[in-house]
Amino acid sequence: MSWWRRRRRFVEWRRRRRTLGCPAAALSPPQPPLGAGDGPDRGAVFAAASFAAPSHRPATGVEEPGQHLLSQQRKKVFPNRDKECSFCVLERQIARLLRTEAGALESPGKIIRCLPLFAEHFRWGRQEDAHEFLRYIVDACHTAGLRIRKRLAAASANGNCGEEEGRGQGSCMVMKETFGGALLSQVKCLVCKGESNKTDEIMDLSLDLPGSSSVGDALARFFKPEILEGANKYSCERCKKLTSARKQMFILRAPKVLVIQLKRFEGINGGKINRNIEFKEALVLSDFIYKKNQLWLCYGGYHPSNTAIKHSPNMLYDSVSSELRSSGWVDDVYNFMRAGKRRRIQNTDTPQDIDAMRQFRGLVASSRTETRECELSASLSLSPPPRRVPTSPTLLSCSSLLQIRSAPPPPMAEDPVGSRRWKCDPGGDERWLSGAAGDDHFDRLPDALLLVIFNRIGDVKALGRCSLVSRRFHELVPLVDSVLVRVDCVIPDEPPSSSSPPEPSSPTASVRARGVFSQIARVVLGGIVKPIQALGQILSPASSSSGSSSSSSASSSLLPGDVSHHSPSEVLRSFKELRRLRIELPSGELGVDDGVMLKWKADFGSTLGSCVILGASSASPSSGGSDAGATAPSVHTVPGEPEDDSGNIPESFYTTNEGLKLRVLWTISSLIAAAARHYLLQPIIADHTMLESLDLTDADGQGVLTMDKWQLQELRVKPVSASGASHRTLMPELSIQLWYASRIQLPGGLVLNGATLVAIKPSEETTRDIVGDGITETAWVTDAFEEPYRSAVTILLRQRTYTLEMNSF
Amino acid sequence: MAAPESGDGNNGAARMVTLISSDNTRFEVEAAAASLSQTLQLTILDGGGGGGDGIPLPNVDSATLSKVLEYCIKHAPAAANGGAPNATAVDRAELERFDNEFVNIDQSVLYSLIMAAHNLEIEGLQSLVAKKVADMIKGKSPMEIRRTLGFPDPTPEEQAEMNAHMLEYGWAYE
Repeated sequence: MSWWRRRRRFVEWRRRRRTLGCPAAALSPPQPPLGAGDGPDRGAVFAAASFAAPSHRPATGVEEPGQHLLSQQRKKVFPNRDKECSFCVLERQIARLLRTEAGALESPGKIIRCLPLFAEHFRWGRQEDAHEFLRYIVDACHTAGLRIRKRLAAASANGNCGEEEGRGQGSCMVMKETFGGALLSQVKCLVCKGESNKTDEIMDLSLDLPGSSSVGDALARFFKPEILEGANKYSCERCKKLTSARKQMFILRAPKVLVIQLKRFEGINGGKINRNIEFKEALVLSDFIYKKNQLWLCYGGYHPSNTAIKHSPNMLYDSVSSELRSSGWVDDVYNFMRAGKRRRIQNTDTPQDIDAMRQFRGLVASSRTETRECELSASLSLSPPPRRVPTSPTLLSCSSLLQIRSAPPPPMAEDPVGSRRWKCDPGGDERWLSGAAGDDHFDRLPDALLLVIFNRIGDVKALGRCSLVSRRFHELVPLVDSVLVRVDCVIPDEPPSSSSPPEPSSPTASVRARGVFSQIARVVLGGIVKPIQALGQILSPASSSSGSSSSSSASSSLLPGDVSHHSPSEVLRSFKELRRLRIELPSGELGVDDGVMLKWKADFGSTLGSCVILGASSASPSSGGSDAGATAPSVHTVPGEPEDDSGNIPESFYTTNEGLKLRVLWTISSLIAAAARHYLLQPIIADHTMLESLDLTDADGQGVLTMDKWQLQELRVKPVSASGASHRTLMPELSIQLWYASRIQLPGGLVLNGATLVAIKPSEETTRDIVGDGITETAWVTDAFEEPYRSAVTILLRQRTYTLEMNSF
Repeated sequence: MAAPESGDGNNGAARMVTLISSDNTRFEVEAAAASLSQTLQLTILDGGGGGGDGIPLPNVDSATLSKVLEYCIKHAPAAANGGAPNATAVDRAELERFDNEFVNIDQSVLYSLIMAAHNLEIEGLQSLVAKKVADMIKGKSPMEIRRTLGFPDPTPEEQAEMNAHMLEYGWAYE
């Protein structure tokens, strides 16, 4: 077969797998033989299983040995590859095992003959450690990979490197890519919140068993946070003193295949743990992942808000079985592989599994039209297996010493044909079983659903309280992606300076700066807080005296009525997954006199993107309300049919204080308020890298500042330039369009006198965008406000347009 | 996805499907209503659920299923229109009123509803119930939330852990 045809076959085969989204499902060797492995074969089988079950790349020659990327290079590096290349030895062993007829025995003789290749000191017939052997195999293959890579590098340096070789270079690290992961050991000072992080590369996890009866339990203990206090205090570098701190391990990067070693020895005396250790077939890793932006599951990754399938680290459980010879172990691995494979197809028992299943199904559905082959394999993997296979019980026949026991399978409905794709039995883990006795229904909701609920809460204070409800809530609340912060008060950072905009010259002028334009640098969330005491009373009525010394001293030092201030960025710090953020200020920054209406909406990237301002010297609910504030002649403009002399701005507009000057003042004030808000947001944006939309509004509905995903992105790339020394963003050169109508009656009965609409864009953009006043160009103006102001904007847009330019400020 | 559905609907009588709850009660509903559930929609598109063999829903009991279907039937016409464009303000107000009353129910029912909505992938119902639960949580202290949601009292261990987090969340209190 020519290289090209082989390559095409390979590509097609890989594509087929990818469309299924679940590589192992397509991987269907003949019924795996129950090769009663002897000696070191178990390690080999173990590695085989590890590769066959999860691999994203074509499994190491399990199906098509000749196609493996490395095979060409291996030949060059190891001329006598049958005996020298650990890859080849392993590969052939795996291939043999998978191809042997069911029930036949496969002697691991070939592996044993090459034993020194893997582990020099291992001797045939002697008792060795299985886990150790697996490590040796992985290590040997990795070393072989490195040798090949070195050779490739030399070849490419000589310039005689083919395309295939160049590509092969990456796959030399296959062992590390498959088993390698990273742990993060973090110490977080509870005083300054400073973090000290250390990363460790891992090839497997060794779990202590004492006190745990299941793998999940042992895993949870391993990753459990530890509070360093008392005699064990942490010397914080930032605080320069001993402080209490939280020490915790996280999974920084989950390996594709996670190998878990259960340490069966107890204490230093070397007692052995012989009790049963339980494990679930799906193990949720998401709780332990640092940066919890992915929910990891053993089978099928799942993310609550993002419906992409992440690659899933499959699990293989390893027991430290020193009995290399005890038979049955190999069967277990095989059964595990088989069970795992079927499980994906047949058995969906946690809601997460259902979700993975749904996505899987979605993928299949979308690939329906592609090729016949796709459909074939799709139906192959979706239809239930011909007979019901007791999945978990096969696992019960485990190694002689360590009984790894799995929960019995959930009762599956024997499906008629009609329900071929209907899999949502939440059985299995009784945690999810609805209708079970007990009142704590909501504690049994799956994480994904709780997150849906939390996302609906919005209010940050309610979320903060939620996170103190229970351990689980505390873990989940920081994953919330949509938050509303209501700011209680705004504290000016510095006294009003002369840089504030010019005060209106006449007392009747409607806009007055409240001295916040340049000083609104600290927006705080405050309250009369005695946090610790208050909480202590709420949460632990009985044990208030047993609170830690630091808390009691803190609470005593807080006087009643003391106000502690928290900036939004401080409050939001724990929400690492924020996507949508809304901050609401207590009131608009611009003090306006009664009757005057002023609204603005601006969007920002690194600087102003656009701004729309709608103002009226008086807005009265009834049609008769043309009070003293309106000096302009009341020219009625009925919605839908503008006046004949539309656009003829009355003289007074130019001459009086109420006229143009006031409009310009409105414009500048709004722009400065917007710029100040924008400036404020920087630290929050920097803290939350996943943010997709950000709104800063006020309770008065005066101003709205929005930033969308791209604008946030722009800000991160291109930092804000401040305007002089003040705390606001520098405005670029602006091009302003202005519309005026002396009187507008809105559908809701609202009458706007002296209504003015201002649309602002940076000059450089304007030359491209707003040339005329066509529909497309004005869409952003029209959409700026909600009804009834939307119709006001529509009416105003029909008036004559005045344009002016403004310098950068 | 929805195209074959409406096609079926236009051919004389609307297509009916049978759903079987966990306690073996059979429900016959219009395919359009059942298709609000993403999960069921796939099965129905596949031709399942018609005739005698129903679609078994092994994790939804009859009480919950009837409630779910009540929602689906009410919302099916709006969903078929693709939501907003044709809907008048009156229709929308009516739906809103229905929704408000619909979730005004016992907590255990609420729980089974949200589980069912999640399993059946009925987006609207799920967010409706989630909103309701969120409203129940808002403005309450952690202990009140615990009681509202019917959690057991915290273990001393858990309590200590929560106390340790208090500093972090001091701002949540006024």
